[in-house]
Amino acid sequence: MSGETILGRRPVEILARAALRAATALVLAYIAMPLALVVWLSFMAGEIMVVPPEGYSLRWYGVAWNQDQLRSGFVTSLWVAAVATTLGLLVTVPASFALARGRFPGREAVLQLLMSPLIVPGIVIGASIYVFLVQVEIETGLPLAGSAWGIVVAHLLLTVPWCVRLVTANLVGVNRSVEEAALSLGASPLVTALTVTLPMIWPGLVAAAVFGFVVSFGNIEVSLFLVAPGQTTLPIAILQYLQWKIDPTIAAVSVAQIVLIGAALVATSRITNLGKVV
Amino acid sequence: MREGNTVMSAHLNRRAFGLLAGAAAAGIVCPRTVRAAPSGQIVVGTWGGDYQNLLQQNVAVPLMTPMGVNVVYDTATDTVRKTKLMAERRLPRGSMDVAALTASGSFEMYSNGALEELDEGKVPNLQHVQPFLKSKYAAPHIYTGRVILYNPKLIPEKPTSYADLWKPEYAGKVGLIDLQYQTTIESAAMIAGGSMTNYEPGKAKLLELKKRGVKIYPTNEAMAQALKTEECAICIMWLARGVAWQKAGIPVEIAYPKEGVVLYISDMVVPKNARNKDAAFAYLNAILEPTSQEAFARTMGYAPTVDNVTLAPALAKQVSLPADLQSSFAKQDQDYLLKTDASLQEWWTKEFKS
Repeated sequence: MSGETILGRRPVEILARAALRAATALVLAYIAMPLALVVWLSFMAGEIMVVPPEGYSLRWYGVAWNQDQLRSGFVTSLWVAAVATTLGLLVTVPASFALARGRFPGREAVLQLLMSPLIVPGIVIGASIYVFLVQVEIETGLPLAGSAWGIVVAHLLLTVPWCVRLVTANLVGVNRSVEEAALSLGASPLVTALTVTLPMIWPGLVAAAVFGFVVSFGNIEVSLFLVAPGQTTLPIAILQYLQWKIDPTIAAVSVAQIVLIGAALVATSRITNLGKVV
Repeated sequence: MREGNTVMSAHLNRRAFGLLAGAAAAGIVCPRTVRAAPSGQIVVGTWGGDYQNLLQQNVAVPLMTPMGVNVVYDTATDTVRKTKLMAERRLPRGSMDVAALTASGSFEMYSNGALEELDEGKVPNLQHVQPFLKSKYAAPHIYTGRVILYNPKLIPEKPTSYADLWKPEYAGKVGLIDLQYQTTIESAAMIAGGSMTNYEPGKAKLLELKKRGVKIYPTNEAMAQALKTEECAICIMWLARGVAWQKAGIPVEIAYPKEGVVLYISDMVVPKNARNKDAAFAYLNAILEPTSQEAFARTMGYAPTVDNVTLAPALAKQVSLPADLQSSFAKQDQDYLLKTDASLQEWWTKEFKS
């Protein structure tokens, strides 16, 4: 995506390079603009956002920190996303092996089924799981509706498509001769998968975990019906805060979230080259 | 010993008979139920944010904790709460003991058989509820009225009617809120020959306003910004929100429409399948206590729903609707809205906004 991909010193080539660079800068600015606006808003002193601002202040960060609901929502979102991502990987890695290596009737259908949470609206997933849990409770007497497991199960669905797609794509790219060498030297298929294949698809696993975590952490539609009493996720806490207040506290929370997810992406890219697998 | 027992037993039987007869007589004379002392945990389904914070600070901590009742919140929008109440109707024990709903929501849930009926035996403070807020299924927690907000710099003459929004000189200065399509059509109907059970005349009236030039803002927050930047000069809004905006430095004054003040009521209800009904009734009683009512008036700008609270004069002037307007108070007809809301929304989206 850099201007250097257009070579040559003829005027038309120089012009094309400049145009490509300008277009790239424009797209990057467009992507970064919401982030920049949120950061700007979080430092505005006034309760109502006006341009030009009435002044600048750090006070909204203090207000955000003192909101119990936002703090506890952050913690809930963190553990729900962590558990859902871990379970998502545990479920989808074996599934990806089967999909990438196996040739069986209905393979495409299974793949599409695992990807289907992406095409069903989140609110429908949340409401459906909730009604299902209520029905199970009616039939069995097990207190499932309003339990903490409902939200974890629902968020597991959110992470599955990302994990399946990324892990399967990485498995397809694995050099099978390395695995065959391990097998020919006496390693069992399980030992080969754990000690040879998984290390080779490590970048894909990390990418799957990152994307699954981010999708789960930021989700609101699925969570709305499924949060257990006494718990709330950060996106719900933000939505509820806005019901009564319009000050830049939420912008301050969003900046904290951006920093957290940004730091996770930077740390991940140091472990593995995300650009190669995503 | 046996004899003695027999004698004792006969004696007790006579006493027991007397006690039972007395209790039965007391039950007939005094219908109030003697309830078990509330204790344990209750789940309160509510809006979050400041509203939940204030419930915790002014109801849970000072009034419920000393009783030994622990309050846990199930935070969501009222649409989610209504869906949950409906879905859980067949469960012997629901997930909420108390649910906060708008008046239309509590009516809808009661109509669907999801709510416990209330009386002063269960919730003694219901005796203090203002007559125009009473219902047999809900404890009204807070209320406010629909008014006109205007910027006196841009609208020099104080409005007296919703019709003032249609004045040609205010063309382009009027703002409406997308989310408030229902109340907006209703307000227009009030000046076009409609009523609380007939919003139809409001539609043509609003199309007139559209021709003159009207700005539609997606949310209350967007409207607040528009008023602050003076992009919009006049709008229809709730009094409590107007008070909050004044506190936030938005240059608006409040005017009461002569057509009548329609009330917004936020209720608390108890589902039929609440797990801890005694504590739930105690919670409803606590939200009607004068101390918590005063706190919500002071911090959120909503008027108390009970008649036994005394507000500081300045606060009373700010949050209370003028006494002389009480005769003009109007309540939405929830049955009508239940039947027509979908079509009102469709008209708003397809014909008015397009």
